[in-house]
Amino acid sequence: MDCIDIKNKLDQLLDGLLPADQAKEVRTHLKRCPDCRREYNLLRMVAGSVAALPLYQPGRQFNDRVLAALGFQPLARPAQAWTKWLVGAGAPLAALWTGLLAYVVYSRLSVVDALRVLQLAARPRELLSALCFYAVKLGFAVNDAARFAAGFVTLAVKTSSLPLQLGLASLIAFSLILLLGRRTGAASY
Amino acid sequence: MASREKDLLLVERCKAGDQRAYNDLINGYKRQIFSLIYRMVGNAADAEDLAQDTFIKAFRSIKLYDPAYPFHTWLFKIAHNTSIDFLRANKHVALTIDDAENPIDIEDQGLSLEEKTEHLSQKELIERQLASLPPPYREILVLRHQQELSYEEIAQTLEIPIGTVKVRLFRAREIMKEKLVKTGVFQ
Repeated sequence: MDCIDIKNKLDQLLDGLLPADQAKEVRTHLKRCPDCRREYNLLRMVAGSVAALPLYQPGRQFNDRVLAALGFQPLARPAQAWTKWLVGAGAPLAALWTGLLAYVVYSRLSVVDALRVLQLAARPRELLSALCFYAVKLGFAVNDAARFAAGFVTLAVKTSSLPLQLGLASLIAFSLILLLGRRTGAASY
Repeated sequence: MASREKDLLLVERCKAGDQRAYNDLINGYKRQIFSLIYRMVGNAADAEDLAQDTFIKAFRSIKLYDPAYPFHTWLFKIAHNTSIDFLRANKHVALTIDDAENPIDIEDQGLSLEEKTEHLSQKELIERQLASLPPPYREILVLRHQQELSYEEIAQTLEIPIGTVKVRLFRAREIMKEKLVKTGVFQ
């Protein structure tokens, strides 16, 4: 094969379509012919340069628009990885915060006497009075809890203790993240 | 690109009306379809609309899909037809290259020496040169080298004989090679 024959086969060599014997013959020629070798390298560079071009990403609403045209509702977005991580880290702190408030409420309530409740249940009018009494007491307890939280915030703001301020800020931040995480972490693609 | 078996399972689920299967097929191919169409029409907004049309057409006629052929070939065929319809409607030139009377312009599209050497990266230069090819040539280069379709798959996608695929690809590579040498991308 001369150079013209070889150059006509370079495309097939590039695409792996030449029979083995012909491919061997062309490769042997390429080793000793700089012109044909340059042609082949240029072809390879064309292929490589197109292959290396980026694939573009369409807009974020792309799937929703296609699905809407087919009569489907948009699927829920997946939770972001950073949100999941923060929820994981913040949940124990938020639970601690909630537990602290619950303890304050509980500590303001008297321990319920089960026997007394049974006796009251037999007398509906007294039970109603007792329920009203405990409802009022619960209201006071909630008020106490709110005052406790407010006092804690005031203390953190007034004090120059940086750890206390950071602790309070992190509790509030993680509580908010926990709430947001519950809203965004539902279904996923 | 997703495997053929996985695609077939997703197609079956689509036929049963499974929304997540539709979503998975979109996720599997939206970048390839959008990129192909973008390189065909040269405009991101139009490309996004046409890519959406491609998926909508495909899904609305999914019961007509023949599993004997790869799903992505069928999808690329719809993308190709959608792009060609758009280019025709917008009166773009050089949609066919089989007409020997129609000479192909392989001149640079206004690239200055400064652009070549300073402001544009090599990839941007290649992208520009690709964009300056007539649509059939740039399409076949993208299908072969970026989407890695075989000759048979390209023939099915473009609905042309394999012999035409070979000739068109040969010519497209030659023109692209000349352009890249001329602009100094290849030494």
